[in-house]
Amino acid sequence: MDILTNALRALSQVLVVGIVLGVGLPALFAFGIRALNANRTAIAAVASNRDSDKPSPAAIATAGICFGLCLLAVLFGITVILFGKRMFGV
Amino acid sequence: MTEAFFILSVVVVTALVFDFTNGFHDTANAMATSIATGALKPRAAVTLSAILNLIGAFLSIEVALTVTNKVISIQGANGAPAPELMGVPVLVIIFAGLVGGIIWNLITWLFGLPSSSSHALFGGLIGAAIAALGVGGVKWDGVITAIVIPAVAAPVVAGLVAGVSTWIVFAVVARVPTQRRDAGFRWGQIGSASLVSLAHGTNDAQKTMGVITLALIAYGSWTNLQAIPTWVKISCAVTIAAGTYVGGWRVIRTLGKGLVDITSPQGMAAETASAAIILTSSHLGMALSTTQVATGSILGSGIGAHAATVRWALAGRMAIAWLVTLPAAGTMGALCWFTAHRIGGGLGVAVVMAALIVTAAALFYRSRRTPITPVNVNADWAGTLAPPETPAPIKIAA
Repeated sequence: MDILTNALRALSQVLVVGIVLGVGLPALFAFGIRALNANRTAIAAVASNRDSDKPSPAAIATAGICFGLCLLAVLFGITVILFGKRMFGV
Repeated sequence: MTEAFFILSVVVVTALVFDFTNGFHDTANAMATSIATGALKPRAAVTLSAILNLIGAFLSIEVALTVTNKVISIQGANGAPAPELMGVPVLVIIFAGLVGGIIWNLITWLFGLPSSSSHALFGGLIGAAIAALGVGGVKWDGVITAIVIPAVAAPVVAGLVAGVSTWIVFAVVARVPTQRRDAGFRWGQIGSASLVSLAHGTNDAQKTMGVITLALIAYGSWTNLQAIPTWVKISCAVTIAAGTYVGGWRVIRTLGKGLVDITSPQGMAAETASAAIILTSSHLGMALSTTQVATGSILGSGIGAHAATVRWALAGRMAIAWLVTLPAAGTMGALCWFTAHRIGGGLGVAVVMAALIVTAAALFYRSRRTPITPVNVNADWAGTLAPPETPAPIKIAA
């Protein structure tokens, strides 16, 4: 029974971290893409002329923050791959 | 050349062959989705994955002597072989286990089924240990915690995360034109798939390094339990990268085109879920199989997407393959041990090695009847692994 409770505890932790990173990062990335394409929505693309296709500075900044955070997460991931065993001591 | 040295040489070669199958069997885990959505050309994808596996393998700083120690008892607590088994007995058990793992990897590859290489190796070793030492040679607690529970949990956890992720991603970008959406997510796919490749290199090459080092210790030519000989590190890293580069196109096709119809946002959601879960699980004392996590993620990304096809019959076949992995690889491991042991010594090992070569050649020959290559790997899925000979007629919109 000890095995099972330990396994369930480890699994619930994996699930929580998995949800935070595995759902959070793609969502963040998606917001970045949405910001870059804010005035290129399916409807706007038909009505607008070419000039208004350019994303606004605010949109570029939003996208930059989103993609930047994703990049940071990737760097953190690489750190975990390389030094994880030392960082977490398992 | 002494008999023990001959056996050691065969074990090292066999371990490297296993490492190679481990490489090409698992290319799909990282790259199937990127190849399917066109984020990367097939050859570019396997090349990138091979390079990252190579880097990962070189950068791995852990000594994985304990990997075999989880499921069979041929070693003491510090990872050194048990004194009464030093020498040829340990070598033959490891050899038989490796052969069982290789054959199972080749069979599942032929059918294009993703299947965990670690579980195949564990299965082979368990079979060989039961044959050599009886039921007591297996650590059944370890079998439950290192194999059975993770195998059940991996696809569920990965599927859940990737499913929720896909659903949210599609909601966020609902108003972005499809073409621009996909162009953006292809970059995300490449990044997340690269992370999975790197993690694979560090994890999986370590296992073979550990097995070879264990064999060297058993033979008596290496005594340091805290380090791996440099030549072992280099040969394992290069071999797993070579295997990855060759590319298990059959498995790539099943995961990329067969299981679900995948788009770039799904691909990124699936690979990110895989990377997050593989990395966290290996640090929380519940190492989940890369293959099973990747498969679960891709399945989940199909469930989370509106109107995406999920081919449950295929998922069922994979589940059966996973259930059968342990007993099948185990039976082959046990058979190999009995054969090698009955004939005895170097000759016994040579006979099993010859049988492995014949089996591998037969399976490879069989695969040539329905070859899957970078050219047809992305052909539309028509219910079977082998795409129809002629391209399907192009449907012209009315």
